[in-house]
Amino acid sequence: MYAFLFKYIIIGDTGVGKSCLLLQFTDKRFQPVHDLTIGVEFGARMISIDNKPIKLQIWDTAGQESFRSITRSYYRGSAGALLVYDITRRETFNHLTCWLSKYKRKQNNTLQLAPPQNHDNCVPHSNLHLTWISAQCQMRFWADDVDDARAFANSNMTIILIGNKSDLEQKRAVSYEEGAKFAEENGLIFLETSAKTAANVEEAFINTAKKIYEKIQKGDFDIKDETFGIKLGQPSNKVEIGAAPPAQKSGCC
Amino acid sequence: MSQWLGGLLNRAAAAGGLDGRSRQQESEVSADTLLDRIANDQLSVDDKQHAISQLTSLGKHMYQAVGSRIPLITKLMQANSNNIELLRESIELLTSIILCNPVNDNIIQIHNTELFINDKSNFAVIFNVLNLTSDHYVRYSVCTFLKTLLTNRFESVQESILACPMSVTSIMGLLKDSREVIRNEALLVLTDLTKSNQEIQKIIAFDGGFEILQDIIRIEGQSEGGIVVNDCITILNNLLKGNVLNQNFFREMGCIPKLAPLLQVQNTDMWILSDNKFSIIMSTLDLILSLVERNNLSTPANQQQISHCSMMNLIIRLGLGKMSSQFIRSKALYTLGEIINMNPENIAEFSAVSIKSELNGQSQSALLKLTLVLLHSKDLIEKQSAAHVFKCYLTGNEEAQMALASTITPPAPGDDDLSIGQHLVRALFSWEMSTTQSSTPSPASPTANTASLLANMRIDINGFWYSSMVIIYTLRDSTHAKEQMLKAVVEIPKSTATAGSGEQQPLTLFQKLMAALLATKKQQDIDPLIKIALLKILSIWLDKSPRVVTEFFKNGSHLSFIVESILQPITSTAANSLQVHIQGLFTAVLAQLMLNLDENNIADRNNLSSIINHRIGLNSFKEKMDTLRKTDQFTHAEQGEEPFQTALDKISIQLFDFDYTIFFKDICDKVRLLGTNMNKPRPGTRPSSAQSVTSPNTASSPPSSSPAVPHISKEQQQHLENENALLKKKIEEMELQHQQQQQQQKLSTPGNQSPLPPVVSIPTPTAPAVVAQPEPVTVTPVQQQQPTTEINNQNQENTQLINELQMLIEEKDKENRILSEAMSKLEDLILEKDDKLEELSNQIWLLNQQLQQEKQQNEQLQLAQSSQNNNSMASNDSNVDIFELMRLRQENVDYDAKLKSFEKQVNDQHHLIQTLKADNQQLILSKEEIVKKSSSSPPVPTSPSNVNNLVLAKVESELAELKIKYSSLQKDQDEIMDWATKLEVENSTLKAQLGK
Ligand SMILES: Nc1nc2c(ncn2[C@@H]2O[C@H](COP(=O)(O)OP(=O)(O)OP(=O)(O)O)[C@@H](O)[C@H]2O)c(=O)[nH]1
Ligand SMILES: [Mg+2]
Repeated sequence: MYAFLFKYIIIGDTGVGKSCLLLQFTDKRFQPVHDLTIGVEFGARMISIDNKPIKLQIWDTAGQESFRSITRSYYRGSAGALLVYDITRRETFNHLTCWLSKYKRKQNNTLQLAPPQNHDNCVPHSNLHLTWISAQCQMRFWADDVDDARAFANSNMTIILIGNKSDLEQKRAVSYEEGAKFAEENGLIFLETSAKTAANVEEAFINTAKKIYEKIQKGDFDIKDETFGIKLGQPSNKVEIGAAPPAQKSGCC
Repeated sequence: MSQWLGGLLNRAAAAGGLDGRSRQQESEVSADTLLDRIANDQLSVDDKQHAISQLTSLGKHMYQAVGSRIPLITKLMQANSNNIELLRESIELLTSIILCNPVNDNIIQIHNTELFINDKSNFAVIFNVLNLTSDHYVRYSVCTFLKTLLTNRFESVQESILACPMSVTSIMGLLKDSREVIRNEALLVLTDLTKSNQEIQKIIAFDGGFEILQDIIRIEGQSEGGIVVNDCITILNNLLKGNVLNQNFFREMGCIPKLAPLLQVQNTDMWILSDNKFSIIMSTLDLILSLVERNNLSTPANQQQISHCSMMNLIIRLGLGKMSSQFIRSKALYTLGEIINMNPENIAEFSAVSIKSELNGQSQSALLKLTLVLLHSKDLIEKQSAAHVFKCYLTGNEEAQMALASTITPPAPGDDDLSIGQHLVRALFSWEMSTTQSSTPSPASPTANTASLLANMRIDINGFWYSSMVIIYTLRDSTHAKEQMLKAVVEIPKSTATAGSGEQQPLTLFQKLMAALLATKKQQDIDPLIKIALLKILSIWLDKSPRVVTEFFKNGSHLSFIVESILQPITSTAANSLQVHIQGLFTAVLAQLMLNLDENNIADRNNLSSIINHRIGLNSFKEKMDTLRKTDQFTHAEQGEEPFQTALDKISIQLFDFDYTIFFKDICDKVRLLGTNMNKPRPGTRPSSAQSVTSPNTASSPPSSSPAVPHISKEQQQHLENENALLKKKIEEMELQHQQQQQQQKLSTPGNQSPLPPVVSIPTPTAPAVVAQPEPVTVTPVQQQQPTTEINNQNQENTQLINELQMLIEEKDKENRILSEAMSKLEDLILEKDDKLEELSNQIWLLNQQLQQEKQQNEQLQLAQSSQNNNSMASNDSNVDIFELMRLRQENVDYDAKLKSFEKQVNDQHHLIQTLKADNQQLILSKEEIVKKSSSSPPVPTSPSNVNNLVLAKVESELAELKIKYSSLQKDQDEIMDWATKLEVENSTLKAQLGK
């Protein structure tokens, strides 16, 4: 059936187009209205790399902070992560440090509160009311993080940074260079995509898979350890055993 | 193992040292002392461990003391996570303080459970222990501990586990434990943990739960496995039921085909099935039912996979094969129905399946086999399940409906291989055969033997009933099927019998149905279900098909039979007589005739409306339908589709299914409309669209604007109607007299054998009311051949009186009609006037608007002029500039307005945010309060913070949305501000220019 199965998660602020990216990749459709994701959604697709069939099992998480306690359970055990921001909304780019600090700290596997300057970055300055709300959420956010530090043990996760909504050039608030620079500084792959026009959507998912595949070939993973979010497929003949004998159009009894 | 025993011995020794009484006394002192010892940092781990085992030996006397200091124990565990012995004893201690005794009230244990759950770090320790140790006993007792927690406080444990991201993964680790004992305990934990919490279900799926469980099923030997396999299926079902994401995941990961082996049975299984195998098959069918549940987005794709991996065939084999258990057969059939429901591909595949018959080894189509089960199974659940398959097969599937309809043909004599349709028709009229044959013995004929055989058989009312259901499914919602069925012939008259009496038409199904219905009149003791079924068929058949109505009217006796049945007084209110139901259905049939009559058939329409209005009375007509709607059977069926029932005592024939109640209520609604139309009869000359042309503009005004005119005429009408009713009553009295006299007459003349035609036929069924009147006059003289002149005279007097009265009625009717015509004309006039009024007011409004604008312009002009005057520059050039200025000003005003509206919107949003914030705060407060309560007062029920959390999340998400909206609004506002300032700048430069 497949040679490998890779687990992906898609993370990023609400409304940046995570679900749209998934839908474009699995169904080749675009959904113009914002259907807020509740908890998580799931999608799957087969791709092929190096002539090997690879199944992508993709978990699209809710960007809303209130769901974070649920979505945290999915960070672990994924081989790839799509970290998405919206090029037309600066604050979604500013938030990247919040998202990434989780992964960074997880890589050091140390327990410490987030550095205060990061915390500042996460709070929109524009309005007092909003600051209050964000601060509330943010506090919970960090507190949870401390608890979960151990949960993010997979240091081999491949992360791609995605600047989405590239079709809205006239509303751009984050330049391509800024995105690329940020990615380089943090060792991420980078692409600008449009879930609407499908530009670069395939590439985003496939490039990530290529990177993971390279890591496998280099022997970076212990394939048997499923916490890396990678599974070796069964040999194709073994899969058929489970299936029932072919349909009986007659002589059923 | 030896260590485990050692622990037990240790405990026994500690307990054995003291006698019961002194121990109790000591316990109150020592539980706290022991806990203090554990808290004491100076003491060694060994001492602390000893204290733990001493605590355990105190039994229930230490429950409360330990419960109040749980973190002490968990911290000790955390600090010594490599000390297996200590871990074991600690977990055992924790388990003992929450383990409920079924006999007692267990207040302390429940409270301890809550205390444990409320501190999140407790869970972290337990799961940390799981990850760090592979010790058999530790892992086993953690399972027991979790199980006990879940038993006590299942929802709050789910919440806590969700809040602890490591936990599910750790539990999945238990499931993968190579030691069966631990794995099986973990299965029990999961059975509780996966109940009803979708988020947990999803995380388990994410963590590979499906694969692990299906691996266990495979290792345990699929359907040959025991209780463990069944546990796995139950958990799979928990994970999938109602969870769209998990169903998608299950399907995408190729898990559906792996279920097939669970439904595979050997030939020997057909006769004797082990209990385990029985439950495995039943719960697998449950699992499949979850995958194809109604109104679930993933159902169509699941249905497709189920048939693609040939599981559908396995299920057909279970349902229609030789399987001896009727429970499995029935459930398999029901499941089959759900697999093909609304799925054209699966329906097509199912209809192509054939099964080898056990008797003659010939192949039989699955559908035919299904028909035989439906008609001949002794088991009601099985019959019902077979009917369910037919329902799913035929509903919304015109091709299948037409195909089934086409199998209704007259059976060839001597041919036992009946088609599906022939089987159904035979079952539909089997009761009639047996009753008519026994009451009027038929002359010797070639088929007499089989006929009498049938007559001797007890009527199988269930077979009859389900065959009627299938006929209904075949007809429903398909005009083509209805018309095709109209052509269906069920009997060809034998040429020998009809040789003398000329050409005789073959009997169609419709004719036979009507004849059977009419025949029920003569049979007092007939099962009421028969009437109900036939009437249901008829009401469905007539629906939206004028051709069927036309067919109905071809026989004059049909309508009078329906009307008589409606008018018949209800003699028995006994529940089993179902008279109310029957009359309600008769009324529905009459309503269907009225509603679906060909538009051009004015004669029948007038006749029907006069029957409904005068003979039955509109109110009584509606009432009879409403009475049916209030019956228990109807209100029960209204609730919705019945789930699959296996409890034998709950199974009985349901008079109505959900679909029929919807159908029936629809008729009622239409009748209500019909009623209002009938009350305000509109002359045929008036275009029916008149109202709709005038109404849209004045939708609200006409009824209220001038109610006086219609009101008066309504009163008049009422008055006339009352008069009419009185007159009718008189007529009826006279007629009664008349009849009595005739009866007397008959009695006095024994020679007269001819039955009297129904004299009471004010509107005869075949002719409109007006034509019907002279009938009594023309009929009576023919009838009155006896020379009893006195009676004759009286009769004539009576008929004359009747005639007069009827003429009066006619006159009144005419008046009535004229009045109502006038009324509708008046109404039209009012509508027209209203239209004009509205137009005028619109114009006034427009004028006002213009006036205001002009005023403004004037003002501006004045302003401009004054500024101009100040500069004393009155050239043509500057005039142009003035206009430009005016235009700019005007624009400015517009922008101002826009700005204001934006400001208002922004304010509104502010307001909303504020209220939401307040809500939020309140929620947080109440949450805190609850948390406080639950940790301070002992017997607090499950914490409702769960709900609050959800509400909070919702509010928060709404807030975030508002946030986004708000910022975009602000952006817009900024833009407009920019615009405005630009304009102002322009304005001032212009002004400056002007000034120059
Ligand atoms: N023009 C444009 N609009 C997009 C694009 N991607 C997403 N959108 C729109 O952005 C909105 C949000 O998209 P979603 O995919 O639902 O956002 P999300 O990241 O899943 O949000 P959450 O589920 O709340 O975390 C929708 O109205 C989309 O139509 C894109 O590439 N171009
Ligand atoms: Mg989403």
